[in-house]
Amino acid sequence: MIHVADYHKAYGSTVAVAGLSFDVFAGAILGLVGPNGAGKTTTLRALAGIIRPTRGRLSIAGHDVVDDPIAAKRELAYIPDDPKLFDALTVWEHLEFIAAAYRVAEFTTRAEELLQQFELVEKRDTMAQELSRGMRQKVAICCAYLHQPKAILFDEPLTGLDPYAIRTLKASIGRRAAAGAAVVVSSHLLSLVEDLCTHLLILDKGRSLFSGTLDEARSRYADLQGRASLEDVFFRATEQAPIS
Amino acid sequence: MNPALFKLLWLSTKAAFRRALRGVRTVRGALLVLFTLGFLALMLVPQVITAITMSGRPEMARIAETSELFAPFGLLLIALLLVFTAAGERAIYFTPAEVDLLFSAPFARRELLLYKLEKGTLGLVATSLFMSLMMLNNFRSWLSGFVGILLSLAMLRLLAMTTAMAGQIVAESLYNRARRLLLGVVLLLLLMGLAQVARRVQGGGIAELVASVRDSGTLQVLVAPFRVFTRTIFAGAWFPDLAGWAAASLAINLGLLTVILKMDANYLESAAAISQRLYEQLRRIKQGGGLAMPASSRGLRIHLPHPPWLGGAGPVAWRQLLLAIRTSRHVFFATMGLAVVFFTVLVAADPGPDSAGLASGMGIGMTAYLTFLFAMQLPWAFRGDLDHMDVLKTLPLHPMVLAVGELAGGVLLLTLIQVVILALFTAAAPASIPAMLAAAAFALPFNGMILGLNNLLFLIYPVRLMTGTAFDFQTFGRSLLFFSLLFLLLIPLFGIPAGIGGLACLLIGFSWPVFALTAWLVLVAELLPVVILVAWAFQRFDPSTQMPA
Repeated sequence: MIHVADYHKAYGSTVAVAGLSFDVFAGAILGLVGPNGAGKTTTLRALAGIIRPTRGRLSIAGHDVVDDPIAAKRELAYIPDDPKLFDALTVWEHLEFIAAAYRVAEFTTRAEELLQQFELVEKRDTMAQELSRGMRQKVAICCAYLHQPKAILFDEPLTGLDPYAIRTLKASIGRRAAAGAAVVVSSHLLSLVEDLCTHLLILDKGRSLFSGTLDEARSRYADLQGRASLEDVFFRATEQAPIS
Repeated sequence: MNPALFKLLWLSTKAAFRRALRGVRTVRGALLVLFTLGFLALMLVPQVITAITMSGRPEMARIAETSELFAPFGLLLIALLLVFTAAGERAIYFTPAEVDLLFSAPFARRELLLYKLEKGTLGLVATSLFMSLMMLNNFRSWLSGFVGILLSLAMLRLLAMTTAMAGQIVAESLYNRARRLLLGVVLLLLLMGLAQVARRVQGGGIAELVASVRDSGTLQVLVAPFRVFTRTIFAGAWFPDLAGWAAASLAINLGLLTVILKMDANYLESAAAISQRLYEQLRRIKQGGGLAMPASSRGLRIHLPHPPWLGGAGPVAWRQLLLAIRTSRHVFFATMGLAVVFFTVLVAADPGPDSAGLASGMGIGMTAYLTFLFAMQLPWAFRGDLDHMDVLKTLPLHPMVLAVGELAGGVLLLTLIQVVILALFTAAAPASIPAMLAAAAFALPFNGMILGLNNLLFLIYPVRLMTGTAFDFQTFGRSLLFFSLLFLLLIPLFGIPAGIGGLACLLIGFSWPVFALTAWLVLVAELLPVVILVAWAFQRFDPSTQMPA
């Protein structure tokens, strides 16, 4: 569903991502982890069609994000780490607009369900500028889910969310994947990745250090005898030379 | 354009009206709107009355003729600024919400550009209406002025967008080289034209200057494309003048639009970067520093020795001073550069016996203006520390000490800059020494008073600098009210020292030194209650309820 091959991104002489390749299949949840400046957000923004790759091929549901961006974006939802909303629009107006943008014909029932799910019913007619950080995050997630995307990209999705919302979001990500969506979750919270993800991609300085399932990541270190936590794997991977 | 984007425009316009109306529902909001409308009426009504009463007089025709001659040069200048500076970047600026929600949505790049243009249309119409009324006396007909300004503003916007799109297509180094080459050609033509004008004007007045500009072939070639728009602005009859020139202007605009859409440049990445940069700038403006820049790594090389403790005021002033230097160096350099230019002009012009008066006038005027500019536009004292109020409140320092420390950094730095500028002007005209010495002596209490009052009002009535949107009459009204209050308070605070100085002269006999010394002493004495009031206002400031949006 999500295909990245030999993706490079450079800003002048600074290389942000170098030769990254990975796939996320329908139903899989890929955890994208790495230290600050590893290239996680750059990768997600390129997949979302916001920034151009310097080289390589990125596609969503078979559509190249550079050559056929509209078809690719129609199948995609991207939730940035600090989503910005239209200050003067209400929560419901955001959903109305997203429904129009993605041509969701009968959106009302689905939108109401999402508001219910994320406890935003009372905020339906509240302007975005009056919402807290966590509320705005929830609105952005509702907007992302509204058109039932085949590929969902989350950048630090838990920031600002309360424990109830975290539980709801984690469950909803699981449900989306079970329904056939390919999900990428970029996060520094290794426990979230461990709980939620089926696959793991460790990045450092724009290069892939590991790509595979969580079990493969654990078995990579024989000395930890299969008991390695994701935290152990992460620190071992980033402190050593590339292992894959 | 995509129907969803039309829907967004409709929802945004509705939301802007809703926000404006919501503000009017409270008494305070309604008063602010009335105050704003009253202020606008005060600006516009005299223009309209003058235009009606003076209509048909020969002097009005002459004003229109002179304005028409010089207007294309104004357009040329703005176009050059847009094409050759970062100001043109705004043409592809999208708000952070637009970047997050529209760039990853299934919209074509062209659709987003059309949305961007459409979104600005209401603002262009409002600006054109305001400008056409403000400059009503310069036009032959209001309608021509309005239509012409609207088409000119649209052209400038499209030109900036065309340049930005071209930059996306052409490789950066090639694009910059082409831009520099074009700028060189334009400057060369401008110099040739000015040389022609200079040769013809031999000590004559404005009439001779006008004739020379009109007869200069080079200058006329340079402004020819812009003349189509100024012909629209200054058209007399509706037909064929206005209709014909407006049609020609519209054709140029449509041509530019076609070029932009044909290029179909992939601008999203640049637009996202510009958006982030401008968003940061907006954030700085909201923090009270419209002219401030983020501290660069080069700024880290600047170190200041720690001053004495002074009850805690020393470290606070040190922090203020260090931040001011690191974030505002470019403003200081620009100011000093401007002063050097004035100095060079003054020395080259050699006005003879008038030089002392001219130098002191320019020096004192410039330094006084700097006080107002820096106090309002640089993140100094409490205005710049608005988002750090919690930290300031937790410091184990007396509010009075904090107030002194917060104000001292900016006041000392500003005074130092002003003294250097005054010294420069004195070097150009040594006979101005007495006036310059007096100005240098007054600089410190003057700066203290302006910065102190500014911060006092800000802490009592916290208003962020103008960052509102269209129809945001409350924000505009609040800023207007703030500045009106500031100037109202300055009248007695500067009037009393001047009055007591005059009284001293009455008693002792007129003498400038007596007047200046008395006024200076009273002004310095006035500073103490102002600082005490700033400390009181800081103490009562409640970050949980008074923090402006």
